[in-house]
Amino acid sequence: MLIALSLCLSVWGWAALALAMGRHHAALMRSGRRQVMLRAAGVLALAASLVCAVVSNGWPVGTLLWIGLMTLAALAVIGALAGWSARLSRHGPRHPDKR
Amino acid sequence: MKPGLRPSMAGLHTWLGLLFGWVLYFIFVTGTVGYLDTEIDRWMRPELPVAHYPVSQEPAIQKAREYLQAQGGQARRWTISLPINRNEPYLQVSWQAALSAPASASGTAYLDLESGQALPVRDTSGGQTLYQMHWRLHYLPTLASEWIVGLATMAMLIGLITGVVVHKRIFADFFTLRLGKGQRSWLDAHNVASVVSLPFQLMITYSGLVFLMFSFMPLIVAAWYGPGAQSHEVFLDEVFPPLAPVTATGRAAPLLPLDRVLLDAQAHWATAPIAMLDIQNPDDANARISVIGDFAAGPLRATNILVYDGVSGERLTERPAWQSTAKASRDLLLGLHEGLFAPAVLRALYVLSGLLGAAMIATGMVLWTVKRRQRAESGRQAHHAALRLVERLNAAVVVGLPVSIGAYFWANRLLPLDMAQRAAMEVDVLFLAWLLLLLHAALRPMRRVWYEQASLAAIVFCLLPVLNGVTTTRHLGQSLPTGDWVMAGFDLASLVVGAAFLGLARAVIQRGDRKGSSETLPKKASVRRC
Repeated sequence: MLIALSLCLSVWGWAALALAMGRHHAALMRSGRRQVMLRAAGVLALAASLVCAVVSNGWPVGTLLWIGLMTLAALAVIGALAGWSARLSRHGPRHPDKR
Repeated sequence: MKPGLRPSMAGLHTWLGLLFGWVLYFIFVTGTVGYLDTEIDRWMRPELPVAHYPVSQEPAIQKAREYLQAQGGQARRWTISLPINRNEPYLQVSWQAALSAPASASGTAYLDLESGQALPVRDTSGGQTLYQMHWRLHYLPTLASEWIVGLATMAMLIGLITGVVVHKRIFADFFTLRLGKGQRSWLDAHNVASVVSLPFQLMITYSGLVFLMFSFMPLIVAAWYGPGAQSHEVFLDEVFPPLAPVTATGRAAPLLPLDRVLLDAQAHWATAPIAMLDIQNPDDANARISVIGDFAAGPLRATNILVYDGVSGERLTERPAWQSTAKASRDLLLGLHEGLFAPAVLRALYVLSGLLGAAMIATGMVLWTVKRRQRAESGRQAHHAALRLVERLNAAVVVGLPVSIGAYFWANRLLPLDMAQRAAMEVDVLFLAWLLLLLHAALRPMRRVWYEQASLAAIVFCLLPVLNGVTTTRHLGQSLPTGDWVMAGFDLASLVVGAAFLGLARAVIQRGDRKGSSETLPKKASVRRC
């Protein structure tokens, strides 16, 4: 159970970090403050993911689990972004919000 | 960074990748498959019943001892492996005859827990051989394979470090994966596979070198102990002290009942499980019983060992798991590399990381050819022989090796059970299949090679569960309802692998169609296409 939570937190963490990088979504371009907040949220989520993994399996196995879950989560986020970008480039970007 | 550093690191990265890429791909694939060796062993011996562990140890040891005693002869050594966990699921015994006896006087057997009789299993190389190929390759003398694998591992480590140095925007490009853009897509895929699993790749490569460190850094030993093989032996005896070494006296003396030793060991170790009994010179006055714990209880690949006098039952010596920080550091790296301690989720992540490592190498090799083919087609470079060689070898290795492993599994089910040298023949089938695929890649037109080999891979793996059903009773129709997850898992994994290759075949043929049609249409129309 905690491992699943750890994985989810990893995915959210990477997703937040990815979104904080404006280049990945012109339609979701963030202002400077938003970027900092997203980045902080991302790092915190990854740290929480580590805590969950360690609570679940102890320090040695937990740390290794966390590294492996981060790999899986990063792959998921990268794959989703790649699929999304491919769809965007095929159908054209939506009208970006004015901020 | 000095201006010349990145280009020179890039050149080194490319050269090492080209020279060692195929060997490293073989090492990664056999390593990942070998990580699942116990499960593969089980699937390749469908005669074995579902495993039960852990079991109560006294009856198991008693049955094992009776079986070994019944083998007769003056055995030099007996081992009894107890079923304790996923890594050691069955009661197994082995007996080594005296040095003067013929090879057939030694042997191993799986024992039935109820009857204590040997379970009849087919003669197969099993998953163990796939695992051993990971560092021993095959058909080569040990010295040759050790050096080839060692040099390849060193090249891998340098490749990882130069790769990180060369990757200019490793953080900014962390999430970048542009699809459908030719060379850039391959580069992105190569980068993603590598960076996302980078901690694992660094660990697995460095620890791989640590396995070979005594062979590859002999001068350090020579500096302290003197040159030559004898000094090396002295050093090894100090690092791995032989426990109570003893030669047989030739005087017969009955081996004491093993449960006495077992009880003493259990009292001494509280909850730590006993994995194996190693009995030297059984039924001799100088019998010794080593009681060995579980090597894979934690990331540190070491365990406590107790040694008993085999006649009197007196506890002679104990070797603890932790002997020195230096040795423990080595044991930790070896334990991380083997990953036997990993619980189920971490185990799956190890497999994922191994596959990512193989993908990292494969995408790198393909990237090299795509880049040069683009240059050749745009006229900037001649279409040279090296490019053609690498293109064909890529297909034959990246797809050909998995197909050959599939052929190995097919051979396990199809070769006649009473065939002589059956186990060796199964492995020969693997390499024969690979040779045929190399020939296929050499002779077929390049635009068909990937598609045909991927299609063959899809067929081989998707039909494997069907073959299992036709040749044995342990098929999915039986393993799924009864919850035999080892057999079912193998069959299901085979289907997943087959589906993946089917996807690859389709992707190759679709890309071929797109490229083919864009070449026939005039320039303007092809730009509009994608």
